[in-house]
Amino acid sequence: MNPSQRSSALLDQLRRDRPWQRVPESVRQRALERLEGELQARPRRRALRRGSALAAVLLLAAGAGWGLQRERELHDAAAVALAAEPAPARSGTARAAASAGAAPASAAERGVPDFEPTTVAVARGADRAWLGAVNPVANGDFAAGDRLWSVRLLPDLHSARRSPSSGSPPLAGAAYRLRDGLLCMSVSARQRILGVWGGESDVEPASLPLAAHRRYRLSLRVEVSGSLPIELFVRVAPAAPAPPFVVAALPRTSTAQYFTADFEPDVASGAARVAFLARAAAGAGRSEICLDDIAVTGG
Amino acid sequence: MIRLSTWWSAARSERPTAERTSRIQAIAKAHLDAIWRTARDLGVDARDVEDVLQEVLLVVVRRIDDILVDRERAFVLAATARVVANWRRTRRRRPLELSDELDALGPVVGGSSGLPPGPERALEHSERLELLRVALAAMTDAQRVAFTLFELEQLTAREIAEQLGVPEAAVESRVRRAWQVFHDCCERTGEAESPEPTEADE
Repeated sequence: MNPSQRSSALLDQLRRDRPWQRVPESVRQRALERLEGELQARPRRRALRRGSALAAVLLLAAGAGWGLQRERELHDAAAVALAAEPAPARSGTARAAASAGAAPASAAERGVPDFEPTTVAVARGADRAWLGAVNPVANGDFAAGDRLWSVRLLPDLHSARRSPSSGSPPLAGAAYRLRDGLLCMSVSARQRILGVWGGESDVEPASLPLAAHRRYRLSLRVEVSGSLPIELFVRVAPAAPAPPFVVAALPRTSTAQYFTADFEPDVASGAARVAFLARAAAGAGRSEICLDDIAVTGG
Repeated sequence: MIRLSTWWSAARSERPTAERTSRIQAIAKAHLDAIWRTARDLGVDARDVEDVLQEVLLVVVRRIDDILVDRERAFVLAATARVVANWRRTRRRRPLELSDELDALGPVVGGSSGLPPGPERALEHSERLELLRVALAAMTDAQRVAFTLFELEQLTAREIAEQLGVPEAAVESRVRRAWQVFHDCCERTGEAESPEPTEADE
């Protein structure tokens, strides 16, 4: 196969199996419902706009004692039109926060820099009530070592492309250790570590049942030390509407930090999993990130 | 009172007919997946894509009378490209790049299929996606739109040209250059970084 054919074949594969090939069902339903609302509200809104000047005249006229009945009708029409006004669209993440009733705290309040409050569904946990709750994420506290967890170093494709000798980046286990019941991973600049709970273990697969329209809380404890800033992203998947997640730029402190995110799935899932992705910023040196008490409670 | 009657009549006449409404709904249902795919291909991140989708549907509602029956798909995809261009201009800095990265690893962490594909296959898949992402990022905006509509959504050059209001030859030229960028990225994987976008065809 010549290079051009290889590129064509690759493009052909991508055409067929991109993960965003189809709209998620919950999004499809929401989009069609909103469209329906727009179709119903639009003519009334337009009529209302055009009639606003006339309405003002009518109000004056009503004060003068004529056309009162018609003015009432106009007001009724206005009330209907305004009630039918669709709510402005929000980003998926903010929607997850809103559906769970969790008001996003400000960055300063959370102590989490660089993230915009409107897009972050994270509350830094002063509330630690979840610590005592039953956690269906078995071994989420790493009491049984790395059982049910798969921790891997993702290939640095950026570097791989610059190295003439490297072929396909190797699939590598990440450098991690278990220390005092914490899962600790050492990362150097731009390294990305992916951890997945359940589903990837051939020996002992595990998954998390989620019921529709019940409130859950994803929570975890994190410690970071070293010279490089680390970003951490944790999510439960699949869970509609938007996968709930915790995202945080972590201060470099070995003091434990607690993060929580509430969510309410649209649909039930018998096989949800938990995944985290930690990434170190560019720079010199290394950092270590330790995780503990990863839990999904509620339901 | 005469004016009032005129106003009510005008309001009634603007109400979409049942036929128009059902056509809008049919277009939405038929092309929702294509809008979704195209928006993602053009670089809209996961958390904004639903808003883009909704915006495209509003364009369909507003422009329903301008949409030719045999050009519905081309129309909605071109509208998607325009909405994405607006989104790109107005969006704020992306603070959650890491979330997009994890989204791109969908198969690894429980994507739409929900089936664990195994690490090797998942890695291979994520590499292909990464390659596509890099290639699309290396294209100019015009090339990216032409490539996405022509190569990924398989519209014809004529359809794209009609909808974007550019000569067909320009579309062909953009697709050709975009293809070269994609091919170069395929070839250079493991050798060098992707080329920077050129504005030669702008």
